[in-house]
Amino acid sequence: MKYYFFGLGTMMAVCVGCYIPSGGNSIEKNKYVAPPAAMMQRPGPMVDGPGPGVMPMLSHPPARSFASKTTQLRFVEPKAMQIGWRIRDGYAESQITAPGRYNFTQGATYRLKISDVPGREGLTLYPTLQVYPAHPSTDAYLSHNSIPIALTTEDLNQIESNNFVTKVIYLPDPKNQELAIAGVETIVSTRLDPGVDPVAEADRRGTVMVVLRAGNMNLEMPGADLDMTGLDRNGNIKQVVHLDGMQGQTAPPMPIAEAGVGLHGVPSPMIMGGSSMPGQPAMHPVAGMGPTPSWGMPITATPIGLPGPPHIPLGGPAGLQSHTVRNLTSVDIGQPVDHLLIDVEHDPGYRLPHPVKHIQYKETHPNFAPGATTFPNWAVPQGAPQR
Amino acid sequence: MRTNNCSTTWVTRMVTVAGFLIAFGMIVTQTTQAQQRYYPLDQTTPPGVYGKWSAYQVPVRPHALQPVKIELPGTGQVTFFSHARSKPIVAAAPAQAAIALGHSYRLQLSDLQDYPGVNLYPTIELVDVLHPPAGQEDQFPIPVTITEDEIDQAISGRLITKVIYLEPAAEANPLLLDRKNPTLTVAPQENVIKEADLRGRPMIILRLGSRTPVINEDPAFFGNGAPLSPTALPRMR
Repeated sequence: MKYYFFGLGTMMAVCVGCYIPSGGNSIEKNKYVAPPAAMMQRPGPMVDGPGPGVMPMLSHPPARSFASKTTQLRFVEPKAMQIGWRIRDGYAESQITAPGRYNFTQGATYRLKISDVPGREGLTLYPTLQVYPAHPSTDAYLSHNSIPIALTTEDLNQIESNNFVTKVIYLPDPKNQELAIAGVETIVSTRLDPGVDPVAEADRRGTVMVVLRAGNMNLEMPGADLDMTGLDRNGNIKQVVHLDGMQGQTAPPMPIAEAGVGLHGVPSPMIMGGSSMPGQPAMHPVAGMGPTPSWGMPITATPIGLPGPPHIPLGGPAGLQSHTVRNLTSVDIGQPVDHLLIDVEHDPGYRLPHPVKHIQYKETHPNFAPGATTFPNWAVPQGAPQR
Repeated sequence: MRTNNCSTTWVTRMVTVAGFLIAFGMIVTQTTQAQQRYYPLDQTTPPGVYGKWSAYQVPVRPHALQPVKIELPGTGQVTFFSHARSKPIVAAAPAQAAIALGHSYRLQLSDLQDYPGVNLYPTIELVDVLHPPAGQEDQFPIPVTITEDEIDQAISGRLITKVIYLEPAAEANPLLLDRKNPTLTVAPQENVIKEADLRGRPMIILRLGSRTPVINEDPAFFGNGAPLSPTALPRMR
């Protein structure tokens, strides 16, 4: 009997299969996992060409309609608050009155000037506004919605109390959304435990779109900013420009920093598309477009033989002899199909006259005896007797 | 002799059990695979990607446009944009226009009843076409109904993604509906395109938010110049 149960167990394992719950980042059995959203913007390598056997172009709609190059910010409250921003040689004040909207070019950081806050006479703030480039997961939202920014009473109290307030506005991932319809959420640094990075926390929950950092530093005191009160390149006293939006003087904001570009050409820790020129929209790193190499091209350089961080001290001999990057991603995409069989059938089928396979062709010619026929003149051989 | 009888019975039992297990395993495997169909697109996919893929896959009738009818909860005005510098199509709701497969279009909803001063700029993305009788294309537009609740949600700063699908003919209700097209709301964790595909054939994706053009608006906000044509509203049937 024990052999019976042993055989039965073996049969069950063979027929039904063993299922062992998998952990880590491996792919669960019978579940499919989509690539990241950025990879979904194109059919994939060897599908949309160039190359043999690629999918032909039937039409030419853009891959991303309404690709948002600007983020529309809506300054909600306090109402009647004046919002200006840094321009090339000064500040453009009162460009927007809350509640008001403005489109900021993505992938850049701006210096705002907030004044005339109701109930807080004399308070002028110079927060920075970091506008992140649109991510494929936020593109639909940014092209259809504005992002609300509000300085609450608590925020203003914290700023006046010499605290640094960071507000991160992000679009939560679907799994983290509490409401049935997509909407933004805000994380304020003053509500987090000490030491918790609000940007990292927001990034963990979703995709960051805007970061507002505010303190009580006065940036227009004499000597506070050499760019505004010092000398220009020719040694002349630089004229500070002030535009007042209340008098119809407007100017677009000038970015004070750009995303994706660090000092001395070193990429910043934030991996995103950067802009090639100041004030220009951020370019998304799409494979094969612009400076981004095509798929399959190696882009990672190894520091072998170079002095640098991998073998400190700097200036010493090259010590790194091996540089290995392993891709441990669990991949199960199946094997290429070698023989494909497709059965098609029409019901009812076709019934047509069968094609002709035998043709009998017969010609009957008149048969004349010699001398019983005549020839036209031109066919009579020369020298033949005329009849 | 007795031993031989036991051995024969044992083998017969094992073969019978194995047969049942093989059949059971095949049924379970096929059921699981049918339920785990792969859906690469969802509501977070950037606008335009679904349409582009559809243009690849759907047999396109060259230069054929699909009429779309926009229905509002009350009176209002609908403007169809094709490009920032091209003349838009303006009509009172319900408004109808013909658009091209694979393209996305920006709309303007204005003069909304019960919403004074509110202007909304949703987009529609055509991902499939109908196959009406020849010459009667205008009589069979794809209805896109916008409700009061959706307008309220959009004004509050949320993004509504709505997939209009065509129910399969074998499962269609043979009775004439006496109300607006039924709408099913799914949880944000669910794939709205998958849910529509399970119930029929997705035709149009409507995205409704609160972004409005401002003084320094990007011309791409109004579209990329996709084909757009006015059509007549269908006759009452």
